[in-house]
Amino acid sequence: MPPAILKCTLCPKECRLAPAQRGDCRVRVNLDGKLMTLVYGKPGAVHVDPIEKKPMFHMLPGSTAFSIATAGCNLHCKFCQNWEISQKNPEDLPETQDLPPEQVIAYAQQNQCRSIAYTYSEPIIYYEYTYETSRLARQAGIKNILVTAGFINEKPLRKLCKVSDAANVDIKSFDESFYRGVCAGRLQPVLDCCEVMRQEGVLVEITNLLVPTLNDNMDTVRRMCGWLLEHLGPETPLHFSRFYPQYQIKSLPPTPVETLQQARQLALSAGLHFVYIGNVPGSGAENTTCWKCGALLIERIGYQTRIVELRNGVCGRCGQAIYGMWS
Amino acid sequence: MLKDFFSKLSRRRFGQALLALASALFCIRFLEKKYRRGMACHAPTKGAKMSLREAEFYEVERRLP
Repeated sequence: MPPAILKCTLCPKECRLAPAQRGDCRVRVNLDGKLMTLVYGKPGAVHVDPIEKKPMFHMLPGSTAFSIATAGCNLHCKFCQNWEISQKNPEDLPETQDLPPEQVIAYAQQNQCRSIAYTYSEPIIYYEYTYETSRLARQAGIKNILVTAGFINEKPLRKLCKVSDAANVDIKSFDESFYRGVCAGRLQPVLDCCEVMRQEGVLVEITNLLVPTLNDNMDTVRRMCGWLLEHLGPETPLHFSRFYPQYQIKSLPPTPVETLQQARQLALSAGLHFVYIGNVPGSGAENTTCWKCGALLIERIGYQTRIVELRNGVCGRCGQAIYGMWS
Repeated sequence: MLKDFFSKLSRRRFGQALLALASALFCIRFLEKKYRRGMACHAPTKGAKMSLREAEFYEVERRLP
């Protein structure tokens, strides 16, 4: 192939790549006029995690998810909690292994995992690996979970949704300037992604990590809740997650628990049915309760889960159907 | 003409011009880094930790001679 300038159309950044250049994600490179992925079948992190860790609270509670990630990310959040994987070139990770999709399925089955989570870094940038593994997992009866920032173009997203069962989309903030200044991204494509996922029948949960002074403004939280209600529906689970000093933001303190509680109260009074607080074990805001009658459906302490009143996806007390994938 | 121009240019003015040029270059480099982060990386040299496979979703913008 003669050399060429390529435009990657996977994510909204649409990097233009001269020969031998990589995209902003670090893992897609223009080689000999072809766009190549550097991380297919080369995860840098492989773990068996409780599904609650993703966090997915409305999917197969108490089960485990076989979790994989490669190097790279198309966002560059200054507070990234997984920066040691996501903000590295693949060749700079201390440990990677050959794990083709077939092997991922085999390991997931060996470990009795009911789902595979594409997580830690960003499943979008290792798209081909995510897609092929998801396709094979579907055939084997294993569910697929995307834990993503949702910064992807519509065409690849719709294709990926065909083999995905659930997603936790991290809305970093409802503030465009925060996205641009702190994450090197944009808000609108993420919102579009959430809507497309719902249209395609993917179970969507939302995470919003609150960083003190940067995105913990309650007016912004209120606007985000309003958008979620209008575009995704009140049944959409929302997780407010606690920030811990990491990566390039080490000077700020962890998010005060009161701020998280305030955001949760605001979201509940706005009309969202399932609002949780993450990264604060024992807060009491990790339990799932019936939004109609208040019955305790699932009790969680850390990653310990106990099904209480949930019966086949409905509230055992009042019969209300609960949004989620329960079996 | 150029010789005439330089003979009229005082040492101080020359210094200022040089400083302005250096600042402009610094700014360009800074902005390039900020907005094209990652794009200056070059092809892998330590191939052992990577695998190559053709990606989906790209367009050929133009072929180079």
